[in-house]
Amino acid sequence: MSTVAFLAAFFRAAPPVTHPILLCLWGTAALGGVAMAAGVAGGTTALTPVLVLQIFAASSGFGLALRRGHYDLVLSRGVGLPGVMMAHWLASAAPGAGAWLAVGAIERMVSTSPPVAFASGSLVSFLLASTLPWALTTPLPRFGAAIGWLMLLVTSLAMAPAAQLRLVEALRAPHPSALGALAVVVYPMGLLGVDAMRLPAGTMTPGLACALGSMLGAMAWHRRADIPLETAT
Amino acid sequence: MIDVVLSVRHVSAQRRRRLVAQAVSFDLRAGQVLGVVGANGSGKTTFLRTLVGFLSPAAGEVRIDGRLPPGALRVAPTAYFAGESTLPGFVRASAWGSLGTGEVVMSDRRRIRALSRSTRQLLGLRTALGRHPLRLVVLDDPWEGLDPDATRWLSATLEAKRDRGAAVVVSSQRLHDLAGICDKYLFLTGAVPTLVRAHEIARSGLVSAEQLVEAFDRARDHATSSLAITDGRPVTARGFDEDS
Repeated sequence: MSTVAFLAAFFRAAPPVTHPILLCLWGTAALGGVAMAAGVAGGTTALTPVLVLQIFAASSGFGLALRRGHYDLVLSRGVGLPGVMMAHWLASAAPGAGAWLAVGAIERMVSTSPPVAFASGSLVSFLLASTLPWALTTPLPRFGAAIGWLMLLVTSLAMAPAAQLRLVEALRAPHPSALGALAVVVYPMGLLGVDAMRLPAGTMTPGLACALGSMLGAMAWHRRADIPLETAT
Repeated sequence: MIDVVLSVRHVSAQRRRRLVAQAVSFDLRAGQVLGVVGANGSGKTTFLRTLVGFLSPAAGEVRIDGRLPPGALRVAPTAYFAGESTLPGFVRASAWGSLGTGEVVMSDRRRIRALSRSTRQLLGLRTALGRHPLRLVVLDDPWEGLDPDATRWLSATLEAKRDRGAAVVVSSQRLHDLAGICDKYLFLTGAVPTLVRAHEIARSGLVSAEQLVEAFDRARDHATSSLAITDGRPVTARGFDEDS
């Protein structure tokens, strides 16, 4: 069995995304599709819960499973840690990508306007929701980054109810600002349906750099780190 | 030509800055079995993970078929298993079992966490050992929790792998598990382990459980007295160069 085939078989047998999250993803996509077909919701409404669930799905906690020895079987085949991490990330992001594509396909069928799911801003928001939480949760328990993000969002909204509006305004403003750049990272829903090419580079670049940097950082962290067993002495 | 599978040179293994084995050197040839013996917490798991490259040695070098791990594992088929606690409990037993060779080694569709400890251990061992041919087998306390039938299966499988040319490293804290099956023993009795060949313990090379207990006690006593002299710190790192 080739390495890629083995990795695919491994993550099919031991998926990093839990079954409840998978059910929620597919249920949300199905509900969104029905709502769009019935004309009671648009693409943005259908995709927002999928994006939130993707943040939870991607927060799959690679490091903890690694330290528990779950990937010993893969590592003993000589697959390098970066390879296992990439496969884990793909397996974490794939169910959300499937749900996203399904919503996009339904949107294309029922709507005459271009699908929100495939707008460049939407794709950037999906990329951010798939990379940052995965990278940040690498050394944390499952859902670590998603819970942190949710707490940050809820707390800031409770303290400043107008924060959501200000974030979206800053994000879509014609001039780059620190708040706009922050909004890309902490409120990716604001990018849904937006043409990212028309947003200032100063708004988009820090968020994308953050996503790329976090992925590289997670890889570098584990490349230099050893893999002790949690229970071992 | 000597077919050395595992070459360990002046290796020191550590976990979280705690040295568990210092300056260990030996060669393990195809068809040879090394038993790693130590009490709970003596560092058996850390040492074995260092051998397969999951942990970097604090000093020294491990080579598998002349190459450095973990890259060496790509060309030298290796089985490694560190016990049933390393299996992901949410995975179905039948799915996990098929990862070894693609063939179903256990038809049970329950999740791994729902299986008995013995069955989980057996599942992990059968999956890891399912590949063939194997060049190196590294098993961490494999008898732990096994029922008598599974114990017999494991012993027979290890013999078969060894006879087909695999080098085997197996650890246990229960000495009777290892008696009679190993060509050499590594006693993790302190920071400086002791390597003993089977024929040094028993003239025939077939070590009984009682002889192994005696040898282990001697090594432990020696380690304790060394530590007493040096106020808890070994003065020098003893290497055990095989064939030197």
